[in-house]
Amino acid sequence: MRITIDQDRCVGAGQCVLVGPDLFDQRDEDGVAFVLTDGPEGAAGGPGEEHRAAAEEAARVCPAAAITVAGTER
Amino acid sequence: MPASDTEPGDGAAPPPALGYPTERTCPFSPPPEFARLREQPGLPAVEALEGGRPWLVTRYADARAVLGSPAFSARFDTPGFPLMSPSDVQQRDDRTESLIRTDDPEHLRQRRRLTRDFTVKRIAALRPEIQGVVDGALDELLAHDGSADLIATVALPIPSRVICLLLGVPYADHGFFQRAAARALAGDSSPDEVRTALGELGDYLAALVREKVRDPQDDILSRLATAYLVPGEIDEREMVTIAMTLLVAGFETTGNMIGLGTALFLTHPEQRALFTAGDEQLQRNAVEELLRYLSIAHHPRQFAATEDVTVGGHTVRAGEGVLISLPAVNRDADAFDDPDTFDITRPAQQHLAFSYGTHQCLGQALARMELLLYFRTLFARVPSLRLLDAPEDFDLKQRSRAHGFRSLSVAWQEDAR
Ligand code: HEM
Ligand code: SF4
Repeated sequence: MRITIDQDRCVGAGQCVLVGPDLFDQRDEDGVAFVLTDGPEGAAGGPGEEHRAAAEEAARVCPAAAITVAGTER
Repeated sequence: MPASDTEPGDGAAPPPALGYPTERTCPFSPPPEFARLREQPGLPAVEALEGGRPWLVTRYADARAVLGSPAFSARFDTPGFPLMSPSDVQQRDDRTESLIRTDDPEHLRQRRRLTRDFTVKRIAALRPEIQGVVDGALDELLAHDGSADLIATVALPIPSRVICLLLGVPYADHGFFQRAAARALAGDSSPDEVRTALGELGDYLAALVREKVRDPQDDILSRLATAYLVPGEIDEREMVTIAMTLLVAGFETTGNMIGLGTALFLTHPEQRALFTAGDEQLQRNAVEELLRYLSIAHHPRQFAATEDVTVGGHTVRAGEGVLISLPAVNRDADAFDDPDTFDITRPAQQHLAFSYGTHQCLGQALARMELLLYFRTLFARVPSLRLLDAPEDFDLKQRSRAHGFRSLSVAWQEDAR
């Protein structure tokens, strides 16, 4: 599964971190969100499928519609 | 004569505009009028003080479409922007600037200066301090003789103390700025009263900011002054605007949630029992459900369309206004099963109580933490808490931008607590 964040749109509300604390964090300097690459296994393919529900919930609640979830099985 | 009165190809006279619904029949629920409007196709037209006849959005999907779209402007000076109160008129006339009334990309540039102090991680690190404030307020409550006004002793002091602590505002001045903010925000203040209140608050904060420049401390205002004011990226006026936004947005809203949420739990003992027996994950979800169910930001979100956009099957033209009722949206059965039931176990995370889109509440992580710690601690320490007034006698704020209690009498058993 591949998760991407359009950081230019992120408004730093942190909803993604609340919904998927294993998947997302916010930069200390400006609160902009990023995907935790050293987080859940799945290596090059991104986080494993077991995190899909959380990733999709984050994409749904993100107020800036900045999160996209893609890759393999749906 | 607003251009919005006729649809192309529609020769019939438009129905008269409605007044914006404000008549509640239940202290915890939006005016029932919204449920009726939500069922009607299209969007109803509503009366505004100035700015034509804005369209009213009451459905969840329509609200997300508007709030998520760059075609809607939140600026007072955008043609067609609907002014709904004397405070709006005064702020438009005085060209008062604020984050909430700014559009991207300028809005996001300003907001990014503030986001780092309100991230989920930053607020989680402040948990011990916030817990300390909650404990202190409950100590003060229990120092009373078995009964007290929850609003004056707990609901306002908790968020005021927390925001003062974070910003570096002396809490001793809270009486002054709470009164000034209340006058500036009240729906029935005259433009002159609003102007005077904002002026007093501005002078106070300007003096405080100068002090932060002279002698910076470990607080948000000092950090902002050092990072942006001293190097000249913003001027003192902008700095005061930021301080005012953070101070005013930070206490009344959370205070209203504390008061209404307490009364809601006390009138729903089975939900309260679930809450006290539940783990922290359930309790966090309960906070989301409280936010959804109570939706205290009941003054409409206000926008003007900058291009033609179709919303709920209705074409909103460039230069027309749109209003959104967040309480109505959060009771839409298409988004929430059985929406009028208060159920702390339901999935509620997608509520719009903090709005949606680029202006979604900056302080939401802080508000969530304050509410979580407050309700956990309250029911653990004061299990015998009860309401002294029946719901029909509740002392609710009248004509305020945010829904809440003016006062709320509660009692507890001294020995058992
Ligand atoms: C439960 C309590 C709260 C509720 C229900 C709430 C609700 C909201 C809502 C609905 C908005 C959107 C405004 C609009 O679109 O017109 C908003 C924006 C905002 N809130 Fe809150 N809020 C709460 C607590 C706080 C706290 C504690 C702070 C602390 C600083 C805060 C700071 C802000 C700011 C600065 C904005 C403007 C954001 C922007 O325009 O980008 N709020 N809030
Ligand atoms: S939920 Fe969206 S806007 Fe909020 S921090 Fe995450 S990516 Fe950014």
